[in-house]
Amino acid sequence: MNNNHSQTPAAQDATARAVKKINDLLARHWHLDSVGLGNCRAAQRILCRLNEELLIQSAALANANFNPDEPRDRQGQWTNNASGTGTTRPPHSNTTHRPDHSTAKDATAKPKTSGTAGGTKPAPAATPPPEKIALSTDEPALMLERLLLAETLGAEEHGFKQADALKSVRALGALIYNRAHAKQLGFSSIHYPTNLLGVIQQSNQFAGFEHYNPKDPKGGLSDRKLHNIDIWMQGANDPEDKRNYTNYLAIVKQVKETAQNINKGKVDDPFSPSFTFAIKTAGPRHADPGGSFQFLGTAAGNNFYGFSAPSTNRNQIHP
Amino acid sequence: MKNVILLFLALLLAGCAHEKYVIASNFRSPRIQRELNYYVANFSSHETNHFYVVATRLDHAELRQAMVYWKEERMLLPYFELVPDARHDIFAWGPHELKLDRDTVDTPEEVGTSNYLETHRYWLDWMEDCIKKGKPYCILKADALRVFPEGSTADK
Repeated sequence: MNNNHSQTPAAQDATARAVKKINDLLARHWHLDSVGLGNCRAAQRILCRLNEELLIQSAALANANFNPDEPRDRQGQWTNNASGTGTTRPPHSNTTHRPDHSTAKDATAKPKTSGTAGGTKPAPAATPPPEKIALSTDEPALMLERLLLAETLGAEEHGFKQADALKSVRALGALIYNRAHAKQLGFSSIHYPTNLLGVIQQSNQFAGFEHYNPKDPKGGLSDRKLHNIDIWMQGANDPEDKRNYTNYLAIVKQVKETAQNINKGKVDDPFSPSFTFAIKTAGPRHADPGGSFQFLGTAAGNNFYGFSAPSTNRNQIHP
Repeated sequence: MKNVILLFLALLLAGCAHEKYVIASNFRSPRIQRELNYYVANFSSHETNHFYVVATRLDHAELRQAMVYWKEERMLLPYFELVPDARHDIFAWGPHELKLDRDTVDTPEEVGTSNYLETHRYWLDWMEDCIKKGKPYCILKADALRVFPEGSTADK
């Protein structure tokens, strides 16, 4: 009622009438109270009327200057009258509609969130979109990632624990690294190619990768292998898949990290201090690698074999 | 008598050494029929396909892993039972199938550190076990395609 200067004449009249009525009721109640009839039924009715009027008036105050005819868009935002003279516009607004308690710092940054009169609440901070994860574009990281994903089972879909699947990825990464660096590691009697591509392309070692071609966009892999890899990548980028998303993302991240580590010459062998050199893929496998290979352990159904320490006395081992 | 006992023990040990994972052909599997349909729809060129499924790992009679012999292609397919709400049918099938001659060699030495090669002997043993003890399934490609129409499944 103290901002009559900003009200329409009709609103000013209504306010004046309400004030007059309240004053009248107060006077009547005071009179009855002064003659010792403050608790009579008439005084109680006056108090009831007074409470009603005060309630109505307090509700009317918030919308006293509301103009239902003012043009707005679907979100309730003003579509014209940007000069700030609109009846429902807060007094300090100019082009953006902000709560009056906005600080100078966020005055330019906070967007308008709604067009309701009497100020708006700031929008809740939007959750950032989940990060997109993709295969590397450069070799040999791409080749390593493809191989690691192609050899990984669906983990929790198969009933394996995620930690087990991550361990399997690390072990296979270590296997590739160890083979390529066997001589440097002191395994002079083991004969494997001395580079990563050679290890992966080696005949009869990794199914489907014998003819891996780094120059081919598909790597020369079969459709089924590529499809397997695609499923991993789709799963790691599909937050809607509540059941598998975190699992797929964790495995794909482990694959990428393992591939990058191998590229940088780092190895993270889960069977350390032993050295992983062979894998028998999950399934009812029969043949062990033979020779002096030792069984190191199982991860996600895959059996891993290797050696505990370099030894020049070991029999010559050919893959 | 001693010789007989020794012979019996030798045979027993030989049998144990040759022991494989075969457990049973009686199993419950809510997904095997679906996955066979998936495999046929996506990877078979035969109108009629015969499969023999031997459980290699069970959990209270529920199938966990199996070896599947696909007669038409002469292939052994490692099978993994997926959880009931699994989305990707392809994960039911191991990364490597074993095709006679293509993926088999004569001796264990030739297998070496390969992650998929097996010996002919191994392959033949599994094939015989599958046919003798396995649960047979006959999947028609036409039926499989009705379940998994080409191109319409997200998991092709």
